[in-house]
Amino acid sequence: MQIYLPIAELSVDVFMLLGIGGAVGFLSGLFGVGGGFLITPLLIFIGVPAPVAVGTGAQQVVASSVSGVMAHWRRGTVDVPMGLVLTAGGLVGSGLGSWAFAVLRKAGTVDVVVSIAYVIFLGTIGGLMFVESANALWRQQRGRVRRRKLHQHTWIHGLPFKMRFRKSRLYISALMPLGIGFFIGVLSAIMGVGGGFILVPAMIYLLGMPTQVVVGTSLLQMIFVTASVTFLQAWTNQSVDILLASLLLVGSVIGAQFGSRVSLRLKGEQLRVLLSLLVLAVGMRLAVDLLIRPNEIFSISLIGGAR
Amino acid sequence: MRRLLLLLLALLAAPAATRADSLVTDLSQRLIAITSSFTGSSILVFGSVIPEGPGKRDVVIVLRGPEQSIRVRRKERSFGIWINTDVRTFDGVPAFYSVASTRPLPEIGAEPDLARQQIGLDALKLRPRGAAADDAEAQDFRAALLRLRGRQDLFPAQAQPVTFLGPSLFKAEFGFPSNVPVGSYKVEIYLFKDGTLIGANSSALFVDKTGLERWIYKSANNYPALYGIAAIAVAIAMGWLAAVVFRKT
Repeated sequence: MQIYLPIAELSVDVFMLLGIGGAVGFLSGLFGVGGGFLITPLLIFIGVPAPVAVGTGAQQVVASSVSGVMAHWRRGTVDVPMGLVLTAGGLVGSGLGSWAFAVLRKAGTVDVVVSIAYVIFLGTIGGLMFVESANALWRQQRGRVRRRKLHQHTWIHGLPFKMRFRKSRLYISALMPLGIGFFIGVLSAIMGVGGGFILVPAMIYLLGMPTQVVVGTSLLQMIFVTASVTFLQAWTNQSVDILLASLLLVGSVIGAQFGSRVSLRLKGEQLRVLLSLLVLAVGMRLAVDLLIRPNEIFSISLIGGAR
Repeated sequence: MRRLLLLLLALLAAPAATRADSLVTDLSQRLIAITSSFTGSSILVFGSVIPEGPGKRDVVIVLRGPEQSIRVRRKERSFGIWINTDVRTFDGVPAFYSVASTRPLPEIGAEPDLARQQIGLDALKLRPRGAAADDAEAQDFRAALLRLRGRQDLFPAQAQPVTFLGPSLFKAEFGFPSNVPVGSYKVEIYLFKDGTLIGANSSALFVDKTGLERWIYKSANNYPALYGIAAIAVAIAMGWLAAVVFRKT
């Protein structure tokens, strides 16, 4: 069944959109990430113009984050003060990122900048996570369980504006989460992703938060950041397709429930290995696109339209 | 506009003594409505020629979309990655362009007329903004523009046939893909006699989104801030609903 998308201005199969939403929702339920880093390239692949894919991807992540936060809220694994500090940084960052996106779009280098940013981040995060989680799995199989230090004092703890985050059991400078939030805000505006796949490792490894609290808190801040990206994209570029997002959502909320069920049966390390492989695969594909000579070296874009 | 004036001049310059053929044309519909189930559409252009005197008659029908400005970019390898380097801007590019004719255009053989009226992809006047006439690279960009538009089914490369049903009645069908741009289109019908332009007609055709599609599109463009807020509200409501529904199962 074909449906015409009013902003993307093309007609696509409804079941394909539900399928894409379902597959991405499954993965996001499985790994606790928003899934925007998959949905944006997939939309571009089926022919949705890049700006529309970015804006609509952000809207889709708002919904899946709301759904996820509510599930975590019931289990008490959301650190609200931490989420708000991350959000404060994220909002400033996404404002800057959205402006940068508009400038890049005028210069015609959006695609390349987005692709390079994707490749660098997907490659780095995927690689680091893979090494870490594969090591953990390896150690577990040999029966040696390494104890992580509860608290390590570094220069980070010497920063001013210290705050107490009870749920995370941390007493650290607010500048750290603020800076991380800002950085991820810039990325999500440019790349149309919630930044969960960067934020989750950053919270675990940089801030030292307990893993159980990380996913719920990252989803909380993702709601605010992606909502502001959605708003700014709609406002400045008119590139949010509500109909497209709604169809993706129906698939993804159902997929997410199946994903979280599977997720409960797997070990944390196994999940992290799988996620890192997925992240690496996406990054690899984009890298190939940048490095191999394209079939068509010309591209066209409309001036002054929604695209 | 200039095209029309030229056409008028051309017609006035034609010897007035010979009585002109009468050309009557119409379209099967004046509005193509894009609904949520739109997957493309087609219109029928039909008409009749009552010939005065002998000679081979040819009918050429041109369908032009609204004019757009288009940037064409070229990728080149720099620092090991493929990146957009060169750009040319073309103004007055029809959003959709399709030609139907009784015979292939070269066989009709009215090259000056074809060029003047910009009939056929080869005759389309497309030159990048600010380009010199001898800009060799401009040709590459023009060719790329035509090729890419063709790939989007917006510039069908093949001329479709105009068929005569009997001595005077003719018809041609034009198909539109699902990504047809909205706006006001012009259907131009040209009548040739032995390779000379002897008559022309034109009709307007509108392509517009209707119903929900139109409402969403207009809201996004006319009230971007409100639309943004609505998009967030929809997302929050659906996320909430999903969480509530699945808690119970």
